[in-house]
Amino acid sequence: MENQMKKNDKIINILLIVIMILVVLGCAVGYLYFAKAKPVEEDNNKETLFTLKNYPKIDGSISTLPLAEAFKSAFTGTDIENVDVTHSKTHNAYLNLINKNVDLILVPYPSEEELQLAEQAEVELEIVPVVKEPFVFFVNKENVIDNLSLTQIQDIYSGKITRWNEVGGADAEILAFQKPTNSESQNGMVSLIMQDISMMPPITETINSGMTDIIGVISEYNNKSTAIGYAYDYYAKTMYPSDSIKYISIDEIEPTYDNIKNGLYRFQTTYYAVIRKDEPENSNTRKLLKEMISTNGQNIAKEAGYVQNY
Amino acid sequence: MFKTTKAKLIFVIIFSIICVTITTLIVIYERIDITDVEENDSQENIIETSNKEKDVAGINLKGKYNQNDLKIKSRKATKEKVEVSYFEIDGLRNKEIQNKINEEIETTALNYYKEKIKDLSEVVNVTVTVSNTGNFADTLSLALNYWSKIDDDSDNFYQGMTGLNYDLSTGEKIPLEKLFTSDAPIIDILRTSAYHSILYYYSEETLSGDSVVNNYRDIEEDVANFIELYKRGKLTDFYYTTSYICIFYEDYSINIEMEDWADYIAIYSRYLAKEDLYDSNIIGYKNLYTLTDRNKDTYYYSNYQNENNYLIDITLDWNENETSSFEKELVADKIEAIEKEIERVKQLASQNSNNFYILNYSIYLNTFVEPEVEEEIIHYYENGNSYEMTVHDFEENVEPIVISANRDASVSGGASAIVYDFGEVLKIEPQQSIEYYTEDGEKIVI
Repeated sequence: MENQMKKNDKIINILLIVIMILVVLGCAVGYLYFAKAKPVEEDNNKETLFTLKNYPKIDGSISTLPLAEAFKSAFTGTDIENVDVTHSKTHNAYLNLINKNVDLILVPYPSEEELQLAEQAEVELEIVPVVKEPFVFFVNKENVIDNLSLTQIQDIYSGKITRWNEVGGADAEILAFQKPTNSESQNGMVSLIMQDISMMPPITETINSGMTDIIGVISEYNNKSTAIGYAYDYYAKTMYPSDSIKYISIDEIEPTYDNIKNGLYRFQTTYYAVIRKDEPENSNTRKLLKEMISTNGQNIAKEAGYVQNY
Repeated sequence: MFKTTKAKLIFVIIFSIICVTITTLIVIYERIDITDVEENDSQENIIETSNKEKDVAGINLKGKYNQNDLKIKSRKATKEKVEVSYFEIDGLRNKEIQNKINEEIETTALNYYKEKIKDLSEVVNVTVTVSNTGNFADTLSLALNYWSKIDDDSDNFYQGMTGLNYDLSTGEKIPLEKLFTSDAPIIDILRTSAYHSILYYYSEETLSGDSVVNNYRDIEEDVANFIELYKRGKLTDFYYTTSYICIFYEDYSINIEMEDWADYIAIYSRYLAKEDLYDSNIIGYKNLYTLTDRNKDTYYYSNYQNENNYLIDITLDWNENETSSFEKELVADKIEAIEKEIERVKQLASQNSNNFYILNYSIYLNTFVEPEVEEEIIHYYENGNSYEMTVHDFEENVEPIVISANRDASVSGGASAIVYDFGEVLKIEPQQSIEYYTEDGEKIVI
């Protein structure tokens, strides 16, 4: 009986030691699995829609360059650093599409001239809205003004209001800078803000270019404490350091993401994907266009800093 | 140790719990995303670096600088349709760095055109030129330009430009942002400079001789693209001189005038090496004013010394080839006289520390055939004067004229001989002296 008990005791001891060894081994395996194993790289396993080889030829405006890069990176599964995208600017992009040098362009709405060029070349354009872009006004960060009404802005740029204290600011003259004639931002200013109101002559300067003086040049926004300027969001963000300017709201509505998406901030434009209408139904170009306006494509656009259109 | 099975069981359970807990804690610790830590570290490094670099000053517009003591030797290479003019440097004490720079200059000069011209059978010829645009502040800047005619029947051509910029103390290339101080508003500088430079290409001349811009075309997109490229580190084709930085963007040259952004241009101060970098210290000009330049090769003889209380600025322009023995004698005599005068002025300066002395002459010697006598005549022309004033007068009234004249002369590459006009402030004008001689050395009157 005692022998039997000793034998049982020995078995229990061995069993418990085996359990302890198994626990230690389990912990070691668990440690190696959870701590040392590399996280699964989702992208590597995910099937992409395109390869770099069969990705359609894209062109566009400079303002849609980050959008085009984000799309190409996501749809080909290429790291954004390794994505090579160049845009030849709005007008050239339209010409390239009309002349069949590219398959799809990301651009603002075509001008009359571009529509005519397409017609002359017997190319029908299919214009699909992709993302929204706000038209913003900005001042020096130190300026006390945070909001202007649409009427006040129109009065400033038509020359009726000339001093900041007329709109609640400092007793100083307003330096109201304009944009070069026919630029995207100047066209936005005329169509979205001024509508039928005439703008006063822009601030101009003389530039010494070595051999001759260039006179009457439209001055660039200089961010002095009394300056006000405008541009589409992309240009404002790219060309003016964000720590020195601030966007102002119009009629108490700020150009925030939500206000732009739901249309509350109504001074905005759309960037379009434009293709030739005769593009075959199942072509890669059409697949890409479809993907750009899909939920996935719109999320990619949002991450790239644009406002979703859908 | 454990008398009962229950006690042993409790021990094993506690042991297992402890093991699992420790393992879990280790796993959690190891899986904390180290990227955040790394990012924070690099952020700190950036802040630290930028704090360290706050001491790098902009340009002192009344300051002076030294040219490097480098010998610049011309080199030519011709192969098939390609003709390359470039140079190599000599005079760096560290030959390893010197060889590295020379190899890179040569490799770039011989190959850069291949970026656009893949097959030489497509073109008539290729001409490559490398110019030394900045040789100061222990840095070297070069501009490379190639031009290639595509066919004989049209005006079509390929063209390309790039720059090579070296820190002579390390042999490393200088990135664009290092030309600026750490607090420089680089985006503002690039935006304004790009806007003004591109406008030049869009401008049209009027009947009054001025230019206007009637069509701003794509300028907003161009300027934005230029800044976008900078943000992505893709503005790498640039060179600099002592007065401007030139960045190649598409078909445009974007010029940043250093005088307009003097407080933020660091090139004069950032790369000054503590150790003696050169084999000798007698090759480059010393104490030139900032934003000015001079080229010693332009003159047969030049003497520029700009010290605490004297300024010597004398140039003699003469082509010594195929000249008569009298001409050689005349020039040697003149140089001897000049150097005696320089010694006298320097002696005066050392005796009168409150006074400032200027010795300034531009001299040239040439020959021409006088139609009336059909004989070769030697023409000696001297323009300049010597001046004396108080140091205070110099600093307040005269030095601005000296600086301005040097900067104006530098616009054309530092080639112009400078004759200062202090008439308004010192009431003494430069004096002109003209002499004519026959080939035999007889002084004549014309």
